[in-house]
Amino acid sequence: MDISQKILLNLKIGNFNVALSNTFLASCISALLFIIIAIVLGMSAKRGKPKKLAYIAEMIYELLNNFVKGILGEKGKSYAPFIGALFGYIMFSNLLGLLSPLGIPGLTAPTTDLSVTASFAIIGIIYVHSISIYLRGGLNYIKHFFKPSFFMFPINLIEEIVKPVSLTVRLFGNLFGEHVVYEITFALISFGIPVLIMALGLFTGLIQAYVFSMLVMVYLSELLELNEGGK
Amino acid sequence: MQSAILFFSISIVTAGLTIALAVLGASAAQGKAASTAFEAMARQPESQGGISGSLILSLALIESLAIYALAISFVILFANPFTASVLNLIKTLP
Repeated sequence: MDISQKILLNLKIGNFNVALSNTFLASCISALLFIIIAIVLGMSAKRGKPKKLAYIAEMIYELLNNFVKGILGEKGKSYAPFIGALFGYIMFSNLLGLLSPLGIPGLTAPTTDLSVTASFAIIGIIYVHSISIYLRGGLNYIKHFFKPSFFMFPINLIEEIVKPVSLTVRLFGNLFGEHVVYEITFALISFGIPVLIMALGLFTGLIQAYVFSMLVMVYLSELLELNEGGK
Repeated sequence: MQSAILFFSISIVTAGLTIALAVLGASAAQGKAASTAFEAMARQPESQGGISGSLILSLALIESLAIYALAISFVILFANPFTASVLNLIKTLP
């Protein structure tokens, strides 16, 4: 039973040694799966000649809009595509982890790799900060570090640095722990009992995707200061 | 040789104790949060949807503190930064 990171391919580009791992291939597969499903669902709702799949597509659209409007308000609809993409990508990545005992090189959860979860967190935080700079101006953005009192600057700065770290470690820890328990259970009993662990893994994967995107939205609403009459 | 055995046994005990204590605190907090949420739902049944969403979010946030401790425990067990120096030390000493 081996839970270390497996490296599939060692490239040498110029002066850099690039090691493509198992989880990199899995993240590509999960992204491709999500893109294909999203395009099929989107194309089914063509104007004038919608197919039956359009029911499911519209249901997903409604769910996503209600999810985003619940925290960001009516004007939050413009942020729904990014939040939906983040949620869907993380959800597909987590669910791919259920196929890991097969041993096929590309089918593990990419989120068991710290680099993958760190990149999700960094992208989310860059999105939040750049939207806040763009909508509220650079001066207001710098002033919000000094907001409650001038001496709160170190605490606000540390809080802004801890946010992506906590997002990373939460997603990584939940999924890597689940992966370890899964592998151990499969090594002990290969029939029957792992179904319970699979159900737990499914539940955990969905909840973690939900919590990640919900937290990115909460950080966005904080920085836009939506309840104080900001934009 | 003795000190290497001591180092490894202490690090294993620490890794186990870290996650055990973290889960103790996290489960107590989650139990309190869930019980208060159920009480609020029973008091006003039409607020179930909103309270369920907030309950799931707060359970995941409380759990993430236990996950930080789990990450440290994994680092101690699988990626211990001091094993290399300890093994170097026991090569030089008898």
